[in-house]
Formats: sequence, C-alpha cells, structure tokens
Amino acid sequence: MSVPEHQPEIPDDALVTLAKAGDMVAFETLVGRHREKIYARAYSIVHNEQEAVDLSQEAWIKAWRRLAQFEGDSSFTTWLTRITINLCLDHLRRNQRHRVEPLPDSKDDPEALDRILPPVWVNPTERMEREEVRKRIDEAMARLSEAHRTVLVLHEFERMEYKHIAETLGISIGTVMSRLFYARRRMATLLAGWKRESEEEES
Amino acid sequence: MNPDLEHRLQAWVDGELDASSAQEMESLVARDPEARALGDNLRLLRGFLQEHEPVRALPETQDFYWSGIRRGIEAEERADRGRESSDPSRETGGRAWWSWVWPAAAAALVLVVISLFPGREGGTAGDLATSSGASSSAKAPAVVPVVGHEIEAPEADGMETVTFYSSQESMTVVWLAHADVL
Repeated sequence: MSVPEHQPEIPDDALVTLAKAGDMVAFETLVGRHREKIYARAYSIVHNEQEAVDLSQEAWIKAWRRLAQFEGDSSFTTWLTRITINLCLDHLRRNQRHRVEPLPDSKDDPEALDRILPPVWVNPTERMEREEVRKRIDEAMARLSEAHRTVLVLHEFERMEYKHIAETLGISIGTVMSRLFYARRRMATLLAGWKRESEEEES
Repeated sequence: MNPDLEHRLQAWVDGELDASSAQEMESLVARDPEARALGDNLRLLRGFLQEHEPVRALPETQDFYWSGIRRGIEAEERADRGRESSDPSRETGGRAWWSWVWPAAAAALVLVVISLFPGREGGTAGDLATSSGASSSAKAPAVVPVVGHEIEAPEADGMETVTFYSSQESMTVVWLAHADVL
C-alpha cells in the first residue's frame, strides 16, 4: 500500500481520532506527513543514520500503542517528538555513550572571549549558502559529545526551557546551563573556523 | 568572567531569569563591555542555529519505512495476544465462568453417588446417615448419624436429608432432596 501523504484537507486531529478508533490508514497518513521531522529529530540526537531510522520507527509504533493516552494537550507532532526524544535518550543510556568533554581553562588567556564565543555571520538571502550553513552546523554538531549535543538540540531546536530539559535528562538545571554554554562555545568556535577557511579560500 | 557569571548571563539571554535577576544582568551589561559582547554573541549564535537547523532527509522510501512500522505494530499485537492467552488474570468473564463449574460438578457427582447408595458407608472411614422427616407426621429431627455425629436436619415437609461424614478426609457432605427422589 502506498503512503497517502497528500491529504491536506484532513487535519492531524481528525486523523488521530480515526487512528484511535483503529484506523490504520489514518495512522499511515500521519506517518507519511511527519516521518521526515521525526527522523530528523532522532538523527539530531544520535547522529547515526540507521539508529535514527530504527528509533524513529520505534517511536511511531509506541505512538500507535499509546494513542489512547494522547489527549490533545499539545499537538500530535509535539507529543510524538517527545516520545522520539525519550527513546533516543534511553538508547544512548543503554549504550552508555554519553561523554562529557572537559571544559578548557581560559582564565589566563587574554583572547579567551573571542575564542569562547566568536561572533557568527551569514548571509541568509543566498539559498545555496543557507544549505551550506546547515551542512556545516550538522558537521559541527557531530563533533559535540552526545551529552552536549542533546542539551543543545532540546534548547535551540525543541525550544525547551532549562527546567524541562533538566527533567527530561534527569540532571540539574545548573548542569543544563553549563552543558548548554559549553555546547554553544564549541559550536561558535567550529563555525568561526569554517568562516575563516571560507574567507581564506576567497582571498 | 567566571563560569557562574557566564551561565547567569546566558540564562538572561535565554529569558530564564526572574525580574530582579534580569535587572542585575541588564546593569552588568550596561557597564561591562565584556559581558555585553558575550551576551550579544550568545544571542546571535542562538538565532543563527535556530534559523539554520540542519535538515536530514529520511534515507528510506515511504513504503519501506511504513512497512517497518506496520510490521512492528503487528508483532507487538501478536505478543500482546500471546501474553493474554498465557496469563490467567487476563481471562475473560466467559472463561472465568468455567473455573467454578468443574468443582461444582464434582461436588454434585459426589452427592449423586451418595444418593444412589444411601445405606452404605463411603469408604473405610465414612459414616452415612439418612432419615425422613417428611413422610412421618412427627416434626422430630430427621437425621441421626450412625456413628456419633450430631448433625441437624431441616424440618421441611417432603424433604429428605442424607449426611455423609468422612473422618479420614475431615469432610461432611449434606444432600437435600425431595423424598420422591430418594
């Protein structure tokens, strides 16, 4: 059966209601509509293609089984994304791959501020450049530890507050703040290095 | 700038501070160029990342991806059915109904056997007593155990009582029936 992804006239809420009643076609439509977003979120956390596919599929399976618990307090995609994030975090915990890199000491370095958070710049009007920027950000995120990347994803892309991140990850708010600061500092450094490379190539 | 101050400045940029703490940060940024630069860079980086969230395309076709989900759902449902069939606590009411039929049937069988052989002892240690309180006009106790067991009988007209006691099994069975049956 082909995935019926183009049914814009049917809102998610209506499809969820049908799926709750056991309508597998309605659920398949939801999968077709949101599969890319769910996969992308899984990938942003585990940064492994096959694991992200497996985990995102597992999230859909779990969602089907828990549909009765979805009461519409948030959007269906928000609810499903939370399931996906929790599955990814469980996966990382099971594999014990959380590695927190030590923070470099910058107290005695007069150029510490610039190295810690160099300003970033981009011209968003050029489509190709935007695609290149996305690719560079993806590469930079791959170089973060999973612990730092997860906090960054939850804050910057999921727009979670510190308290919610702390609850989701089972860590203190202070740890959220330090991991987020380090992740941002690292990202800024990596992106600034890419910008310098680009400028040198142009000159 | 110490890490604690950096983190509080970051929290201010992210709108995580209460009003009084936010006021303190605003004052700090106003008088400290280093703090101001850090705040500006944090804000710039956040906007930059949010505007350019990486897009990752699903590496599987729609049909292939969905078929994996459907297989997973079906496997989970099969597992559920397997668990239900092996777990007595999940039995339906219909199945539970049978759980008390067999003991009741066994008890009835015992009583039928007793009724067919009212004068015999039920095994080596069994004592059997019968009496008729209905066929006679007297309303005297109808049951008289054969060997020293005090058992009361109903005084209803036309009713017969058969009482069986097994000392070996420490069990007493009382069977009530209309006199015509016996």
